[in-house]
Amino acid sequence: MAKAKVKAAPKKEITDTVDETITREEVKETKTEPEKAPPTPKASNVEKTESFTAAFKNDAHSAVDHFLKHNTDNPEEISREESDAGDAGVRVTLTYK
Amino acid sequence: MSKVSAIIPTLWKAKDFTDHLVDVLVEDVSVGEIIIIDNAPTDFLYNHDKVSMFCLEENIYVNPSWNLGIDESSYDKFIIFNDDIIIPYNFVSQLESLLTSDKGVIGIDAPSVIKVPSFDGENITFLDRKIELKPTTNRDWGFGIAMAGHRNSYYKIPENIRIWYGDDYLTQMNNEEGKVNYVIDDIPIFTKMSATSDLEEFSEIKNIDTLMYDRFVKRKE
Repeated sequence: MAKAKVKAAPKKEITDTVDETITREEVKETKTEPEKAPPTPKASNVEKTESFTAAFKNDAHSAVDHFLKHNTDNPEEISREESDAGDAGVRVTLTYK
Repeated sequence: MSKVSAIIPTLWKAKDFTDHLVDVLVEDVSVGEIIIIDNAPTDFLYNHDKVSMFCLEENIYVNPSWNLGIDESSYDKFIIFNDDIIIPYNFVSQLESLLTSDKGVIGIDAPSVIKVPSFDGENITFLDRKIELKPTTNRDWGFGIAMAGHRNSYYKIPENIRIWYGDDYLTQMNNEEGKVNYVIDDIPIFTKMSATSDLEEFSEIKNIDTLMYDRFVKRKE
């Protein structure tokens, strides 16, 4: 692999030369070869999650309902999962597309 | 062949994302150079001849970093990335021909921004279809996590707007020039959103940025 090209910064507030204490390391090798990666899906087909936390369970679910109703992208609800949010109350995690 | 300058300001708050982003850009034949604005230098450097690293003595913040990256870029086309995102391989190659001087800036569509808690190799994909653009009149959430254009569509962001509103400024300036801004349609971009800008230490700067951008908008009205 070729050596890093390190430019001296031209502005007064930045270094004029590269700090000599900086050492060069090898960049991490690619874990996935580009052509072997799966094709990119449409974003609209990828499941997403959003969490809503409230003191009371019903309020957290109401927040989810509000998100779904007022999102102009018309998200499709896949599932909801409740979890304990400690002092904050209840967390409802919405999975949607 | 026309090429694109990729610009990445970083504080290394999501290094696994940044490592992969640089790797994707190194592999992309349309990326002529990768300019890393390193606002928190350590002993780490990317070791590739496409990569230039500007190691700054102190954090100049994101919008001045964008300005610096554009000043130092060698190509007519640019793309600026957050350092905590996963884009598909071949993303810039599919985008390059769309970066023309008659357009404003091109950002990411809010529904295409997918928040993830950590880096996950399952989100690494290869873009084998053409990118389609949608015109947009507003700068919506997520627009600036990856933002591209022709050099003629970049306007230097005022120095007193340092972290937030940089993308608002660019979209507004292009609107005033009669150019249409766009979002990329339906290509998923995974992000550990606001890995850096949510830090408590930046809340005061946010207040100042808001004040300065409001003044800018009012002057235009």
